Amino acid sequence: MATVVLAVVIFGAAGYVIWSRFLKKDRKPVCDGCHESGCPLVEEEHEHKA
Amino acid sequence: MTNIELALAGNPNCGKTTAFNALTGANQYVGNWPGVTVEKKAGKLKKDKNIVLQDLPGIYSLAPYSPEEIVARDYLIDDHPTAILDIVDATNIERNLYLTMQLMETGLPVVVGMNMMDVVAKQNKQFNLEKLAYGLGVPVVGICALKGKGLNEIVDKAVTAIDVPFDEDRYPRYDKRLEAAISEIEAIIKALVPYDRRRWFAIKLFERDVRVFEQVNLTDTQAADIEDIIKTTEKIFTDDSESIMIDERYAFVSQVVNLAVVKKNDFSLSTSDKIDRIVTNRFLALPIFALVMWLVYYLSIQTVGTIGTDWVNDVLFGQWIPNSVTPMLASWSVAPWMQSLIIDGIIGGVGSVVGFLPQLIVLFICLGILEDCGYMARIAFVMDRMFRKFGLSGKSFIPMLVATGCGVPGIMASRTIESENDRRMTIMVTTFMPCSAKLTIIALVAGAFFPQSSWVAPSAYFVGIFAIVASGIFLKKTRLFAGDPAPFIMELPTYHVPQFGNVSRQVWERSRSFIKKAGTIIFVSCIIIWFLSNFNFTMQMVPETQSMLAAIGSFIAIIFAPLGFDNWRAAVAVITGLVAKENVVGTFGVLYSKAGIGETGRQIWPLMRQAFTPAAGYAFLVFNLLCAPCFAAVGAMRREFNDVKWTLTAVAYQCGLAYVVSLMIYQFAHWIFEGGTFTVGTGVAFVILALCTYGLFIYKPKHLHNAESLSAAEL
Repeated sequence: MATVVLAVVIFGAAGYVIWSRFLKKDRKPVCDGCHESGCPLVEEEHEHKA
Repeated sequence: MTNIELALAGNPNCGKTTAFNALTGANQYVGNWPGVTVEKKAGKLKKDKNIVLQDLPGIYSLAPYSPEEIVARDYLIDDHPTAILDIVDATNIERNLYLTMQLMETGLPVVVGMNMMDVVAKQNKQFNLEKLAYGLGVPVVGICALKGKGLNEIVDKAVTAIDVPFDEDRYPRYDKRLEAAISEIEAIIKALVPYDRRRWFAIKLFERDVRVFEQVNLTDTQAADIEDIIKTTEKIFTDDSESIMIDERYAFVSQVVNLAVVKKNDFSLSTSDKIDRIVTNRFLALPIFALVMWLVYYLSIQTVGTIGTDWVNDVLFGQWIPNSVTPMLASWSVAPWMQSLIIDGIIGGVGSVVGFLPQLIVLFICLGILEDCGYMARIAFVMDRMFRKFGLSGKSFIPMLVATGCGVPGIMASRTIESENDRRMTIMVTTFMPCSAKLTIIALVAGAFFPQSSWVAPSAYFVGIFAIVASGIFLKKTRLFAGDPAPFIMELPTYHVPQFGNVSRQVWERSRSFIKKAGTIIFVSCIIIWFLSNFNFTMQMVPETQSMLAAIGSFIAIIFAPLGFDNWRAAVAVITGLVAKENVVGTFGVLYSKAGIGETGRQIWPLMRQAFTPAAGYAFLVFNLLCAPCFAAVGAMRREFNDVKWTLTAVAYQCGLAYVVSLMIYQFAHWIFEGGTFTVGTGVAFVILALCTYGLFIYKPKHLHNAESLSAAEL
């Protein structure tokens, strides 16, 4: 049972990351990992939110 | 209250983004060099959400000479914000007020914020702000963007200025003969442009601004009439129209400054000037830079940072986490494969990457301090001298400085380069600079193979610069990139004590994103690597050496045999590094954890020493530094090139260069220092070295010959 629960949690988390980073339509830029909020890609997003 | 849109304008590096952050509570990247803001950014004011602030790129004028100037003026004229907050660097008042003149010419309400007044005071200068406001005809407020002083006042003044009805007194007035010409042009374009922007259009037409001529639909007669007016005025002033405008603006600025300066002593060298005499000295600049970078890497990788990394690796991921997780999983009767996934795959893989965080934090602190105090801007200036000799502009070094954090914004920063050839070349070579993700590889190789050598880590930085310079020389000889380097004018910021807020913000943001990446992309990559290294193609769980990954890795490893790392684990690490460079370390973490001996950090080192010689280890490091960057950076390259062919050319060039440089390093170092035999590979390395020497120093293509002949003929 614990194995199944852990499998759901781990693979679910991995699936979510893949979906949100690579498949989702309005996904964040993949480079969101880079800190530079000076990056125009991140800026576009900020601007849309504002 | 209706929405108010304020534009934040000013010269590069005058403190706009600092003011923007303070006013909006945003966390925009503040770089202590010009060109950080490539595009405009919007944010709502902290104290009043109805007021939107637009941070414009730093500009010197509203002429259409650079992408930043075009972005700024298009916004001011077409989007027509409610008012302009003009941030003026008081240490360079004449040049900054030149832009103020042009902002006032737009007819929009302008409020001037005099920044860096404290620095001016140290330079033995004082300004009477009331006289300055009187001379300019607009409100002037003394501000300190760093400390957030005066910022609310400037916004209040701008909001008040909006309510003042539009009148012609808002404009600066120039020589009567010039004013007559502008009025005549205004009369011609009366019906073609909005009333409150008529003067701006008239001045731009007078300057023969091509973009404005295209924008205003003039008939042939109107165009001819305007040309007549311009020619007549040029005769009167015996100068061309653009120079007339520049002279008049500076004359106005000069009058205002003379009126407002209380005390002035121009003949004493400031502390900044004294430091610059040494730091930017023709002969000392590069050795000092090399020493500084050596110290940065020595502190972060060899000494201070290592203390933290050792603790994270040996105690946190070496004892605490495995010792608590393993019995817990056993007590829950978790299947062995799931235990292996969690312990070897996730803790081993992600842990090996996170282990480098303390070293990265020290590096971020050092680079943050160097940038904030103003030293890094000097490096761009020093590099311009060197780059220019090799056909690159110093402007290309700004993206490279940005790329030391992450390659993606580095590539984006190339937008400020006007010359298309230079811009493409900069995009192509920017990622040769080691980003923070590559630092994990540097730390791994330096620790595993050269624990006693302090030169290895900084050498990675200089290998990056060398690759950029060599590429500059070589690529400039090709027709694709031929041409003179673009001129580079850069204002050096005054040295100041690094601000805790700026440095800590940089360190926090960079560290946070590193951990975030480890918890997302690296986490998923480690699961995939674990899966591929535990199952064969028929989906049966098998020993690592019979796994899918071993089969794929062994096939790819043949390519790397001449480079000394024909090891399937290393081959796989190179490939996974394309997803994110941290994956190189994560891959070793997973694969060596699975081998049962290594866990994280130091425990991997002996296994790596068994797999590679030090020469192969260094070649592996250089290959990973110079080869194609991560997918995110390749994506950024594609967006900036806006062309798949160019992107593929860049990736092929980067991989090709990485291969030949690593091959030469391994073949020569193995033969000379490790007593290796002279093989076919060594011979090939000699041939490549000869070809590189010829290509860099001797070969002169025909089109360069022709250009030189033309220059000689002109002389």
